[in-house]
Amino acid sequence: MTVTMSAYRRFHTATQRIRDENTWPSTVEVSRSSVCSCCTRPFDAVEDPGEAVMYRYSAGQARMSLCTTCFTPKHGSYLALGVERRAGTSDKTVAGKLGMLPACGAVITTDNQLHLSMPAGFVSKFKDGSFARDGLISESKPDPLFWDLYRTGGLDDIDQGIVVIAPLGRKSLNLMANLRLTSSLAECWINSDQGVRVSDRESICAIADWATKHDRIAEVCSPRFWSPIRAAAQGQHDQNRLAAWGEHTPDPADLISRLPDDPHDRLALHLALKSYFGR
Amino acid sequence: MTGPFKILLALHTPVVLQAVPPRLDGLLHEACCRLHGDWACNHDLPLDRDPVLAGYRASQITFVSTPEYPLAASDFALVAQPEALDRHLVTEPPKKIKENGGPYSGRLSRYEGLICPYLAFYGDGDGEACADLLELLDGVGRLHMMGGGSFTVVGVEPDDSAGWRLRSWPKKWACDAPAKANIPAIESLTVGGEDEPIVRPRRIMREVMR
Repeated sequence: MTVTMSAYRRFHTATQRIRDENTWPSTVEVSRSSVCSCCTRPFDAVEDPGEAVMYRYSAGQARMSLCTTCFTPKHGSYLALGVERRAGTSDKTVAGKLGMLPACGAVITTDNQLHLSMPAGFVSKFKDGSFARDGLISESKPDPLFWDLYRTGGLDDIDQGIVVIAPLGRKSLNLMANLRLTSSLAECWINSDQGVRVSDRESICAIADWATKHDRIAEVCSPRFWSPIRAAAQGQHDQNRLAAWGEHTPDPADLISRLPDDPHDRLALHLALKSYFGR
Repeated sequence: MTGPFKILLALHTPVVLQAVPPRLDGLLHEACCRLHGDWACNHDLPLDRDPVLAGYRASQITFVSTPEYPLAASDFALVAQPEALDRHLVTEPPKKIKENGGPYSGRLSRYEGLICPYLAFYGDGDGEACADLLELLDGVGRLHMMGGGSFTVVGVEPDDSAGWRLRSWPKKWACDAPAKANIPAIESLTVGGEDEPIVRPRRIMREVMR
């Protein structure tokens, strides 16, 4: 059986530098038929087979056996990231970890590089870490990072599978439990610490092309432009309103054919296009 | 009546989709299990098998809207653990609960649903028998045992468009698949089968009924 690329394998390879540090905890040998408490994959199918990190939230909580991939966001790294904050009154510091990055996004491309987007505060904290030195940290929001990579050709072989995370958030076990690979722009699985959602980004590109061609870039980034489409996506369909909208829209039939199928995507079109155009 | 058919279902409550879109043979398998009271074996379904697929000729779910009622987003929230509710919330339930924030929002599980007037499934085989089996089921998709995706069978009609092909196909036979099946994924081709690389249409297939 060929080893199919999985989201976990990509994440594991992209974060290898975090596990190579000498602060990585020792792992225990576990039975290969037992499963990881987070991703529920059997230990003979994980990236480091048979190795588990024993973890518990705090003293009163149950012990969990996590595979090395699921534990990685919980491990703080001074070399890869940096100092997240000081703790207490002494010189004690806390290292930055991938699992405690609210409002930060990540895209793991097919060459297993972890591209991170962070707000300015995190960028300055982690500017001396190895991710920053390798040019993998950009000061932006999660969706604009995705579109920047798309425009510079970084996602051309998306059918080989990429991992999109927006945001990394604070609940790393929720994030790692449901990690899903994206193999097509038309069905983009966006992982987050609140669960996975799916989005049709191919239609966003098609609509952006339409907007560029008809010089309506500012309009499509506003919800008012889409109001009859949004109303229909919420079940309030008004044929007259739609016809009036068609009157003052160039080539309306073409635009409607480019709309995403999912009404949830239609409700968020203006936001997606704003991210696409970097507004 | 045998041959390619289309089953039309009237949808009453929102469908919540999972990662893999529901397929007719999956629904019929569950119906057969209920009919025989046996969830352990692979029942024979009243559908024709396809040699290329090594599975049944059964399509994915299609959302059918009418000109007056398009496919709409219908999100809802349910109590995640009813047994963990405080007693007074059960004996004297509040008339309205704020879902966006407040003390109860953390106890709610949110679901993104889709609602439209009808659902359609295409197949190749004994359409009437398939429709009879589908009547044993309560719903489609997530929360089907709690009222999600509830439907009633409206009718079966012959189909000359080979709609059953709108489903997952093995990646190596992608040339045989319809042009719409262009999303690569790793899913199983048969109920309870092994996951393998496939191509399939988008999760949400839409149709308009005049």
